[in-house]
Amino acid sequence: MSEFRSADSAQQRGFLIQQTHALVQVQDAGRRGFAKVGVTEGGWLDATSARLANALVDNPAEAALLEIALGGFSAQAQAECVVALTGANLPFTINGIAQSRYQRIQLLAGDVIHIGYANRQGARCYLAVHGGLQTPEVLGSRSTVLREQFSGGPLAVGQLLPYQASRVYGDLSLPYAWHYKHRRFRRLALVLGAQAELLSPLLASFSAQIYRVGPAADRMGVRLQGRALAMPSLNLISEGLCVGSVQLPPDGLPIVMLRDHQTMGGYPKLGALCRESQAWLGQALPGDFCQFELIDAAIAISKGRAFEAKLSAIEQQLRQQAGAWRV
Amino acid sequence: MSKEHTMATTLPQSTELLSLPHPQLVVQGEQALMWYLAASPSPQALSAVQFACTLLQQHCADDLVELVPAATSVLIVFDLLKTDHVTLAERIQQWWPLQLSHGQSLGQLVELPCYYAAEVAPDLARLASLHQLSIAEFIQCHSSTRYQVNAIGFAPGFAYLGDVPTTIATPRLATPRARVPKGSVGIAGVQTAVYPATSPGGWNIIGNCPIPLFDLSKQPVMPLSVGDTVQFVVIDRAEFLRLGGDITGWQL
Repeated sequence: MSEFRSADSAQQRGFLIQQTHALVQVQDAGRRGFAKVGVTEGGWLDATSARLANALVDNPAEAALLEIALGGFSAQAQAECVVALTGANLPFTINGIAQSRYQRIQLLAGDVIHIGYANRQGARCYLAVHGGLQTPEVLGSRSTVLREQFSGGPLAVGQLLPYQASRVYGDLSLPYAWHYKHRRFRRLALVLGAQAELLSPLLASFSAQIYRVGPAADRMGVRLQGRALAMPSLNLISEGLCVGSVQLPPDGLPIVMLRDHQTMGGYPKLGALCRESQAWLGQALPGDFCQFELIDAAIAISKGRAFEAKLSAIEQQLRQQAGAWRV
Repeated sequence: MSKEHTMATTLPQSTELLSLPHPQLVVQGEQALMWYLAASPSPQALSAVQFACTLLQQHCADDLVELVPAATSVLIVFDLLKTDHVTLAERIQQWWPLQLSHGQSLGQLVELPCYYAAEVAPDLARLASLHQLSIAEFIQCHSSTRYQVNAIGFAPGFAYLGDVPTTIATPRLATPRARVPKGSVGIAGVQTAVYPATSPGGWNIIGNCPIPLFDLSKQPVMPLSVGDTVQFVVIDRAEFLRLGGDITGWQL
């Protein structure tokens, strides 16, 4: 029950890619339950932006969309469809005309969508299309993990990203309060983990300093630059690694693991970042700054739940508004 | 996959596991808990890890996002909308000390065919001579040992097997190769493993296993789990080819 109508068009329905690079990837909520065979979770780095993009086009929360890192993407719609762009504030045009993020947009067959290069206002934007991208599902997900070879692979110019054609009547947009606004400095909430006790002499110096996001930052993890901590020599047995883990390798500079993290690790870890802090690292550009702030596990849980409640409320509201425009 | 080479046999069961005084459960993140089952790796520790995973899956599956077993621990990633650290930890404490009931089995014995020959194993002759063994003795040593799956990671389907006898244990290559073909069987220190896909790698390659260790068309996608036992079975060239092995992997 939706105002979206499937619109008939030529045989090829999808975005025909005209410009792209390795960091433009199909992502969804990620893979679950395969870490035990060494398969990482993958999935969008900034879950809030991605879910809002899906809600704007009346998709299920976990529908596959395009994660566009650093810009430099254009594609031509081969059939009419309804899209929304959220996340980092990158230059965004349709047929050369500037467009706003966080609104539902009707594209007609032949329209060209273009995302310009990132300035300093975040790294990743999310392009959702009504019905979701229909690329093949592997192990329950359409997420791309380049290193794992089996899930999609890099996109190429001339490739078609399939979707169902759709049409919508009326406007829908999200209030400014929900737009992603990148801050170049952020405090990152860290829940201490199993090796924190072994590393306790380093904690004061770790949490007092300001770190800079280094150039080695990708979907697997982000290396931070700062004063190196004097690492004790620890010989740990490899163990499972969760998303957001803050590893301290022997060089004493933290590496924060993001969604494409390896499933096992042997470096000592201080703990793991909360989701919102992970999302900021997914949006951070080299040269941005952060400082760690320790947070109690119980508080992290209640904050996580409160945020989820707020986010699902706005998703629901968007879907209801979508319904109000039904024709 | 041919049946005769992956016969899964139930291993002798143990009735009591570890003697840790209490379960060591440590917060590992906003929605993660680490369960340490032993202080150091051992076959008993692995059995306990496997049993812990079974219990968690049986009793808490709805609350869990991911379980990652390792040599001495299980990482438990849960859904924070459904449970929390304290609730989960209280639940787990009730299972302590772990007791295997009769009839439960720990792990399977999986036989993996291996073709030990220079055309698929550039390091075989060098390792044999390094350890002052004939090639036949080296093969005999690697294939007569039963290994345990200590961990799975690094890449999809990559299982760390151990321990290889000290008589053939060999450190990693000083410089990793840019390309190791799929199925390559390697040794690094006291560990041995099968490369599930062609990838860069620094292990000494002594053979090739024609059976895929990670196959998206299979259910489950991987024939091994942490805690299983593996034994390599020597096969000849004809059998290797019959099972789908590729002798051209090292030719570019």
